[in-house]
Amino acid sequence: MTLEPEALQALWLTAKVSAVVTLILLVLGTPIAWWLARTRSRLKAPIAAVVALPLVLPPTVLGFYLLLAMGPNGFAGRLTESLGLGLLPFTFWGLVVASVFYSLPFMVQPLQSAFEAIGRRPLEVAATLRATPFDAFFSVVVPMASPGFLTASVMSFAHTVGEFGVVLMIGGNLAGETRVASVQIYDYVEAMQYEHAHAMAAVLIGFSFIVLLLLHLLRPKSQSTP
Amino acid sequence: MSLHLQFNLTRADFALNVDLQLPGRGVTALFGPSGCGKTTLLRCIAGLERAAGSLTVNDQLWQDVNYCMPTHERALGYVFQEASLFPHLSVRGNLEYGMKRIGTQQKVATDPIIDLLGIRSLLDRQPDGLSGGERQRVAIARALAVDPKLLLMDEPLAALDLKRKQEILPYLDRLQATLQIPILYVTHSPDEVARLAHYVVG
Repeated sequence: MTLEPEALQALWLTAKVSAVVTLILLVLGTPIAWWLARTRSRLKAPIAAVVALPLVLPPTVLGFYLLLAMGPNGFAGRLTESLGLGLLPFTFWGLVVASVFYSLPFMVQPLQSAFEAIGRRPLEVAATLRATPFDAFFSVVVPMASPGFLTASVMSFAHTVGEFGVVLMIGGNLAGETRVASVQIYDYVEAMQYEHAHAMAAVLIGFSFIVLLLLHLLRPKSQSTP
Repeated sequence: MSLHLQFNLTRADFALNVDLQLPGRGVTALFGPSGCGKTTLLRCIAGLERAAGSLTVNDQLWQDVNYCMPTHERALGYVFQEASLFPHLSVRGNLEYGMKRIGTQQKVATDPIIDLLGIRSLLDRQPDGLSGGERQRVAIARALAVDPKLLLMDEPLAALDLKRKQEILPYLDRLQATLQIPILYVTHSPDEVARLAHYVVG
């Protein structure tokens, strides 16, 4: 069982997409999770529901709407064209944008729980010790929520690795550009090349197991909140 | 040094009108049963909660009708009922957290504070490994390390058992004898009032 060049290419592309998506989600998901953890606004429930939508929607539904939005007649498509970026569907960045939506709850929900567990007190203490709210967020909340950040990042990365339906809708199947690991396996199976499919599937099983193992090993034994 | 405050607190379960002029040093106890708004008053003085009123400390305006200074700009120290040490920092890290954030011209020498509260041997420990009394002493030292002009203490002994209370009371005695700033001390324990307070607001 060896990996063909196209399999390696697909795996490398998958890793690249997942890493970029995880970084974007860290920047995007942190303020959303923070807002959800702290707000008393009536908008909290609807926003939380929108964030969680990808958990229950068929990925093809999400992919379908994203395809329309990013297409030549969609609002996002018009925007990217007017900015000189061209159209996003069937490109690497189209895949990234779609995956950001698809994996958003996997970043936001663990972070939100971590922020909620910290509560208000450490921030109040920091304020009485002359820290501005911004300063307190980075010097107190981020280190205290670091297990949450780890979980959220790993889950987002792993979930992006595993996506299939959204990719097919938005990215298609272009070698080196949008043909990620899951799509490559599907191709192998369709072409009856089970041997190649086995090799790649084994890599993904190994990857998923190692990720979950690391997650459990790295998690602190007891999370003490004063 | 003086402190003048006037607050009208209206909350779901109580209404409190306070008009106080506090002396420049010594311990003033805010004494009364639980749930009468003592802690809320303290939080309003710190700017952690908002209520209509005015507050002047050392001729500096902290709050009036049009203005409310954010907590992190107020020269105060606050000791919460639970020590609330930062769990990701060592004892030394907790002490230095506030010191790093005040202007350099008002840097205080920490040695006297560390000795006053007897925490020198704890400096390199993590908060997790400390007893309740030790944690509260570190929390008091941390509040003093930012060179406050006013020290607010919210039932600092209430979360401790009798033995820990006895352990920490001598430090509070030394505190009120040494510090040249006013201390506002919230408590519902008559013993603590009798032992520590110079003035009582009931």
